[in-house]
Amino acid sequence: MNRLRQLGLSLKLATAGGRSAWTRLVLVATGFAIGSALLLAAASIAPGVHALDERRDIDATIGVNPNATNALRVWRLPQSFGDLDVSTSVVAPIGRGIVPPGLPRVPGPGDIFASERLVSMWPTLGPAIEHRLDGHLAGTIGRDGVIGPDSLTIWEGKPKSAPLERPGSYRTTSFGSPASATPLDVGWIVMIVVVASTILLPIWLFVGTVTRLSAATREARLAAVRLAGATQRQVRFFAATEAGVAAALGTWLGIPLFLLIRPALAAGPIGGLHMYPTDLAPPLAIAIVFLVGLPALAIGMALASLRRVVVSPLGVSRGAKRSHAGWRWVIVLGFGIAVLTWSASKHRDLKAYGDVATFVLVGGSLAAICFGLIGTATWSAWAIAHKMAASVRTVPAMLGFRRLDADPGSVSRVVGGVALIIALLGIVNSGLISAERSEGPPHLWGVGPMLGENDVGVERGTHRGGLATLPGVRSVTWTHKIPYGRESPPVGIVATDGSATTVEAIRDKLAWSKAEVHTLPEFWAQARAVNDDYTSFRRAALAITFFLLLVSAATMLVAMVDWLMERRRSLAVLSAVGVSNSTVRRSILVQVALPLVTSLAFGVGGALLITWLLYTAVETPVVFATGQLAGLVVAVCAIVLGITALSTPWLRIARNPELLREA
Amino acid sequence: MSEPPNGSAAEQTVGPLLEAEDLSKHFGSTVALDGLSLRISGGEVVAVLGPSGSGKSTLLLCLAGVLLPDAGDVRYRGRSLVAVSDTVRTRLRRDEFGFVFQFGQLVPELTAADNVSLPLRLAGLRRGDAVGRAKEFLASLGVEEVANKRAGEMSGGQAQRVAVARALVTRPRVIFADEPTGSLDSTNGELVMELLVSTARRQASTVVIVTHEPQVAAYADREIVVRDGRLAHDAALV
Amino acid sequence: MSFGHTLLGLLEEGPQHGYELKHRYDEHFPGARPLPFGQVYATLARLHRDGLVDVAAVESGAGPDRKVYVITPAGVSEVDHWIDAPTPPGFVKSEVFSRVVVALLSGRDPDAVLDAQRAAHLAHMRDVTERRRNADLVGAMACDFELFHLEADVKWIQHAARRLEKERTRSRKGARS
Repeated sequence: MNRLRQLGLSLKLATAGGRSAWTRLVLVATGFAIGSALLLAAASIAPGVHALDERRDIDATIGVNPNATNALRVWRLPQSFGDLDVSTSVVAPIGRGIVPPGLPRVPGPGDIFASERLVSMWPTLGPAIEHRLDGHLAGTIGRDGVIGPDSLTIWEGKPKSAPLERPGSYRTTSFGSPASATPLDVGWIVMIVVVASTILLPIWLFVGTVTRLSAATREARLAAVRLAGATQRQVRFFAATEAGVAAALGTWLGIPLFLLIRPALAAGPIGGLHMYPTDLAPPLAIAIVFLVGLPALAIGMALASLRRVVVSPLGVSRGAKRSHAGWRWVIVLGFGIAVLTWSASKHRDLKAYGDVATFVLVGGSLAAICFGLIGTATWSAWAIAHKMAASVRTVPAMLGFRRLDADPGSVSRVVGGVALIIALLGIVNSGLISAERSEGPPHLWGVGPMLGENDVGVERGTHRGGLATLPGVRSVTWTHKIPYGRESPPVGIVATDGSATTVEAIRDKLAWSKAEVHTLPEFWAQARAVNDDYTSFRRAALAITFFLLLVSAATMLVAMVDWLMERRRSLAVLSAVGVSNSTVRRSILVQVALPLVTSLAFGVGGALLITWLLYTAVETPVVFATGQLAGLVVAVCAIVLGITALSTPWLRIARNPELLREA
Repeated sequence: MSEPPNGSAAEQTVGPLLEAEDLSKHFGSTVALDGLSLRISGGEVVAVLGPSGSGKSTLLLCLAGVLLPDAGDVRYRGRSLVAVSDTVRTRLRRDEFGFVFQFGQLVPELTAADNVSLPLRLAGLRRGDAVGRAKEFLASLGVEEVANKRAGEMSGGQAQRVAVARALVTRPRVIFADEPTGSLDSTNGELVMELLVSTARRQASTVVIVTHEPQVAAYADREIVVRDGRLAHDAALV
Repeated sequence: MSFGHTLLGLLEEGPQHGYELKHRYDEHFPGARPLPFGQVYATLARLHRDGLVDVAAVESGAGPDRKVYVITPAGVSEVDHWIDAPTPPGFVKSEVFSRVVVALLSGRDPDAVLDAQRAAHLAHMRDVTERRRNADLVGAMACDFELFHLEADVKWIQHAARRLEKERTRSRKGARS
C-alpha cells in the first residue's frame, strides 16, 4: 500500500473509535497546544527583555564625532506632574540638528513630542504640561524613542523662554540604533527554555496520561489491524500517525494561543517592566524547532512505547515487566541531601573555594535532589498503597489502595510532578522573601526622612530661588545635611498648605532648574516600589504553581474517568452485588487523596528542608514561605474533593445495570 | 447479616418469596419483557430457558431489583422492589441476594480473598473475620490456592468458582445466576454447578438460573421458558 | 455386534456362569429393562460357535445355567480389535423425531410435542444428574454419556422450535403481502 493511502487509512483508524477516540485526540491536542504556547512564551522572554535593553541603549548612547556639522544639544530634565514622573529631554539643534529616535523631525522651539501613554492622558494633563514647559503638543513619539508601552517620555524643542545653560547639557552627534546594540545571547534562551520545560512537567504528564487513555481499546484496534493483514511495521506507522496528527495539530494551534496570551504576558510584571507584545517574539529558528520537534517527539514516544510491545493478531503482549525499582531514587535523593548538607555545614569554607566550586556542588546536589524527589515521591505513593492494601479496614480504602497497587502508572505519575512544583515554589518564594527582607522594609532616603506631612522636598537642580513668594508656601529651609550623616548639595524642605496646586506651582517655578520635587507620599511610593516588585514576583510564581496544579488535577481526572470507563462492567457487577454509589465514590477519593497527599508531604517537606540547607550553604538568610505553602495545602485539599465530585457523572454511567444484560 | 435462612421455612408457606407481576421492559425499540408474570417459592431451584434475545437476562435483573421495569411490579417477601429507593434496593441486594454472572464479575485489582470478603465487610464484619471466612469458603470450594491471586492470574474455572464463593458467602436467601457456566468447558461447568446447587440447598437458598444449556437446567426443580418477553412454558421437573 | 463384544469384555476378567454375566451387565449398563436371559445364552452360544469362548466346565445339577464359560485367546484379540476401532458414526434413529415429523405432516401441533418432550427429557436428566453424584467412576461415565445424549435431543428440540417459529413468521408475512 503506497504511503499516501497508508496515511489516509491511519487517519481514518485514529478517528474511527467514536466519541472516546475524538475525546482523546482533542485532549492530546489541547495539551500540546498549551505546552507549545508556553514554550514559545518561555523562548520569547529573553528576546523581549533584550528589546527593552536595546531601546534603553538607544536612548543612552551619546555620539561624540567632533567633525560632524549637525548635532543636537540635549538637556535632560526630570519632571513630575502629580505623581507621574516624566523623563523629559529638551533639545536645540546645532547646524541642521539630528532627529531624536522616534520623532519625525527635529523639534522646533516649543514643539512637544510625547509618548503614547502621555498623549492618551493629554486631555487632563496636557494643559499643565504645556504651561510648565511653555510648549504645545506637536506629535507622538514612535516606538524607537520609548522603552515600553507605558513609558512617560517627552522630547521638546527648547522654547525661547527657557533659561537652560550649556554646562547642564551634552552635545550628541548621533543616537544609538538597533544595529549597534549588543546581540542577543542565545544561551539565555536555551537556559530559560530548559527551565521552563522542567516546570512544565505537569503538562507533559497530562499529555502522557491522555495518550495512554483507552489503552485496551486502542490495543484491540491495533491487533485487529494486524489480523487484517498489516505487518508490524505498518502497525507502528498507524500508531505513529495517530500520535503525530494529534501532536502536530495541537502544537500548531499553540501559535494562535501564544499570540492570544502575549499581550497579557507583555503587560505582566517581569521586574515591573512592560513590553510591547511584539517584543515577545521567539527567534524563528527556535520556533521552528518547537513546531517540528514537538510532534516528532510525540511520534518518537509512541514508537518507543511500542518497541517493547509486540502487536500480534491475537492481542498485545507487553515485553516489559513492571519494575518497582523506584526505591533507587531514594538513594539519589539521599545523595543530593547529603552533599547539600555538607555544603551547608561548610558554608564558610565554601566561599573560599570560589564560585565555580560552589555552583557545581550546590547546583549538582540540587539537581540530584530534584530528580530524587520526583522519583521517591512517585515510588512512595505506590509503596504506601501496596503496604496498606491488605491491612486497611474499610471497603472504600481497600478498593482504592488495591487499585493504586495494581496500576500505579496513571495516577502516581502525577505525584512526582506536583511534589516538584510545590517544592520549587517553596524554595523560590523563600528566596524572594529573604531577598526582600534583606532589602529591609521600605525606607525613605535623601530628603524624605526630613519631611513633615505637608512638606515638599527639593533635590538637585540649579536656580532654586523664589519659592518663598509662591502662594501656599509657608516656609523654605535649605540644608546641607541629610540623614545618615552625609554631606550633600543643598536640599530644600518647603512647608506648604498641602494642596496639589501649590506643589505644581513649585514645580512650574523650578521647571528649568533640573530639580526633583516630590511630596512625602511620593517618596513613600518610590520606597515601596522595590518591595512591590518582589510581591508581584511571588504572586506570579504562585499563579504559575496554581495553574500547573490545575493541569495535574486535570490529568488525574482524566485518568480516573478512564479507569471508570474501562472497568464499567466490574462496577456494574459491584452495583448488582450491593456496593453502593457512595462506597465507590469514597474509593475514588482514596485513589485521588493518597497520591496528592504524598506529593504535598514531599513537596512541603522538600521545600522546608531544601530551603534551610540551600540558603545556609550560600549564606543567605533562611526564611520559610509558610503563607504560600499553607495556601497550597488548602488548594490540594480542594482539588482532591473537586476531582472526586467531577468524576461522579462517569461513575453513574459506569454503574449502569444494562451493562449486565447478556441479551 | 440476615437471620439464618431456616427462618424462611415459615415464610415459605405464607406467600411466594419472589413475585413478578405483568413486567414490561424495552430498550430503545427492542421489547425485552412483554407482560410477564411469575411466582417463585422459597427453596426452589428455577431454570429460566429461552433463545438469546428472549428477555431472560432482563427478567433476572428485574427480579433482583437491579433493573427497574417500565411497567409492572416485582415483590420480594411481599414488599415491592419497584416502589422503593435505589438505596433500599442496594441494601437489600447486599444483605439478601447473591449473584453469579457469566464473566467479568470479579474486581480485577482485588485478590480472590478480597473479592469474596467484600460482601461480608459491606455487611459490617471486621476485616480480619471477613477475610478468614472468605478463605474458609474458598477452601470448601477447592480454590484456596488462589486466595491471594488477582482475577487476571487465575483460570476461568477458578475465577468462576471464586465468583460462586462470593455469591454464597453471606448465605443469601436468593441466588441469581446468569449463564454461570457460559464461558466454561463441560468439566468446569459441572464442577461449578455442583458446588452452586449443593451449597445453595444446604443453605436452603432459592436459586434462579438463566441458561440455555440443558445440562445446567437439569439441576433445577422447575423449568421456565421465556419467548419474546413472555412466559411460554412453566413446568416442574420433579 | 457390540453386545457380544461387551459380554466378551466382561468375560475377560475370569470364567463365569451366564447368570453372573447377566447381573454384571445390568450393573454396569443399566437400561430401561434388565437383560433377558435368553439373549445372554443365545449370544454365548454364538460366541462359542465362533471360537471366541470356551466351556470351561459343566456343573452338575438341574436348570439351564450349568455351564461355566471362559474366554479364548482369539476372544481376547477380538476384544482388542473392537476396543481400538472407533464406532462408525451413523444416523441415529429416534422416536422423538418420528413423533414430531408425523405431527407436523398430519396437521397436529408440533410445538406441544416438542414442549412436552423437552420437559420429560429435563425431568429424566435431573434424575440422572442426581444419580451421578453418588456413582463411582464407571457409573459417573455412564451418567455423563446419557446426559450428553439427552442434552443433544433437548438442543435439537430447542432448535426445531426456533425453526418452526421462523417458518410461521415468514408464512404470516407472505400471507399478508
